[in-house]
Amino acid sequence: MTENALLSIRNLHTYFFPGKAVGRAVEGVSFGVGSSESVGLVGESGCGKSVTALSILRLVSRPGKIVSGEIIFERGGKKDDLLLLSEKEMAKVRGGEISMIFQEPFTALNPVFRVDYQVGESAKLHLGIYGEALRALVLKTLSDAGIKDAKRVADSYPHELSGGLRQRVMIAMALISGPKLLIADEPTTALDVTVQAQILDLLADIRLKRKLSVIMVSHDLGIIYRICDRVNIMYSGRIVESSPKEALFSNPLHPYTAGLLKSIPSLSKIEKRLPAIPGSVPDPFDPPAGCRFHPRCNKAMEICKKTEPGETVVDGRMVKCWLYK
Amino acid sequence: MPILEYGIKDGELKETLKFIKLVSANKPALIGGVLVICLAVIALVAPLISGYAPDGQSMAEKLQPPSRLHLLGTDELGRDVFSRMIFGSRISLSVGFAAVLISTLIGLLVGAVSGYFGGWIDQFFMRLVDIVLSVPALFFILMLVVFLGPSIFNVMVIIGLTTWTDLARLVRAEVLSLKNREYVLAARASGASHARIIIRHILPNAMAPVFVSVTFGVAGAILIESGLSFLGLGVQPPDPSWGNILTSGKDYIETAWWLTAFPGMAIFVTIISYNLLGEGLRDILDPRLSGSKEIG
Repeated sequence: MTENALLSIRNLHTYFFPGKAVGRAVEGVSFGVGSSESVGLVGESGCGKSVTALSILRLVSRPGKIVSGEIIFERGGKKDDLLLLSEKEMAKVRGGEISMIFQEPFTALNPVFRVDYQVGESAKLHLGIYGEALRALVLKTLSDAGIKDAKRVADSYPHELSGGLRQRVMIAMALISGPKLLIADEPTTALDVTVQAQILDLLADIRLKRKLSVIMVSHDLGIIYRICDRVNIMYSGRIVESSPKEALFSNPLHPYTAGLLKSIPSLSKIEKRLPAIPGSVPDPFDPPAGCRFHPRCNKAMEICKKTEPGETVVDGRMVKCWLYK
Repeated sequence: MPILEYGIKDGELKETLKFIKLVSANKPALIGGVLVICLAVIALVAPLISGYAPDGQSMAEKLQPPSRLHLLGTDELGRDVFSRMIFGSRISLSVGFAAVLISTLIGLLVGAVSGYFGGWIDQFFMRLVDIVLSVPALFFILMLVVFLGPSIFNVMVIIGLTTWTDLARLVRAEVLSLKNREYVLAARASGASHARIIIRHILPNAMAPVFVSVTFGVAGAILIESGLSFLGLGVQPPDPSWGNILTSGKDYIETAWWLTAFPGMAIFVTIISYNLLGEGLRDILDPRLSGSKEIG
């Protein structure tokens, strides 16, 4: 976590309180995003990656609640803890300084409004632009998002557009007010592979052009490899490994990371069966003792069942595993 | 849902036409809609077609049966029943609309706030709805009329204040299902406030059942107004309303049938046409019921 980070999350805890039980969805997550850096947040479904992303914008809805932690964001030359800002200030951050794009382009656009209204809304709220100027900005942002006939798309309803176009519209919505940080929550999961590739290229391109910092949330290491500089592997509400991309892909430290990498299908070798990590993500309401991963780990030792490993730094990479103590 | 747009752009005109097409393909909606429009037009142009002043008395012509001079006959004071009826339709319809406007505003507000915020706010409003619903509506209305005194304005307000509960529940249920849509989250993520999200992003998506409910609501309000006026607690003579024309006619029901038959029929036709329109709109707007019909 560098000190000049644009965003740095420290020891974030987000719990869910349905009734009496407590679901520890995010437990002590810390990571940073530098200026124009692209950071991946990777893990299986239910590991807390989306909740972490929503926590940054304080959009976790009941019964979820951010219990403790700090989210330091650099805005206007000074560093603010987003968790301490008033709702009013937070509304300026959302969309104006940090934007988010979502997984489902089919449900993330409001069916009763035309695209130009939805894309323009953020600019109305944050830049105070209306009328002709707004229309021009909407069209420009749509074409920046790789939409060729921006005019036609702007006058369409979401149901008249394809999935790929809708995701581009979502990206335009997120970018129109010129945020510094873009959080992309599985932006390509719902799209088919060719469109996926186009959207990823677009994000990579926009990132460079706009000097945008990106947090990419995904379960797909292939996508992370294409987009990110640094990768955080999440498991059961914690970051278990944090490392620059190349090092992580060539030499995974945590057994979980290694398992994830092995389960990527490869075109070059023919395998009878894809190796998968046995079992599934622990229930956040009833997690195992010790290291959360030990019931599924092929290298588990006695100590893993009892005590949770702390952070260990190996070659400038962070890992939480007893193998490296 | 094309009809939910404001203002008319070129694309919208096309969609409005499409909606009109859908309505004309649906018999109940078409019949109901045409009747509703006719009734509204008659009310609007009442002074042009009445021929007589609604309160113009002529004792020499009292209790005359329908004739060429007096299309629907005359009452016990020699007033022309036809002109009283069409002026009465103005009052009945405007009471119906004003009451529904009030109840819709309350219902939308209560339902949206309850559904969106949940928690104790929701508990509070829904228990309030339970309380209002647990008192027999007519009793409640009669009590309020007695307290506030009968007048056109009071009748509008009282009907409005007592009939919002169904709509509030309906809107609450819609909002509950809409507030977790991803586009609501997306709007939050672009910095929209709660009020903006409710008004601009959630309610427009909940309007289809509201339109249906409003249509039925107008019929209900007109019926309540007629009932109250019939009991002498609504619109007061000499202002004509279908309800109070019925009242004054009931004493002559054996000798002058036209005094009760025509206002009764007017109420019946009005209620039926609003209900037909409501049924039809429900079929058109509810995609779960519309079967093979393609919308949008």
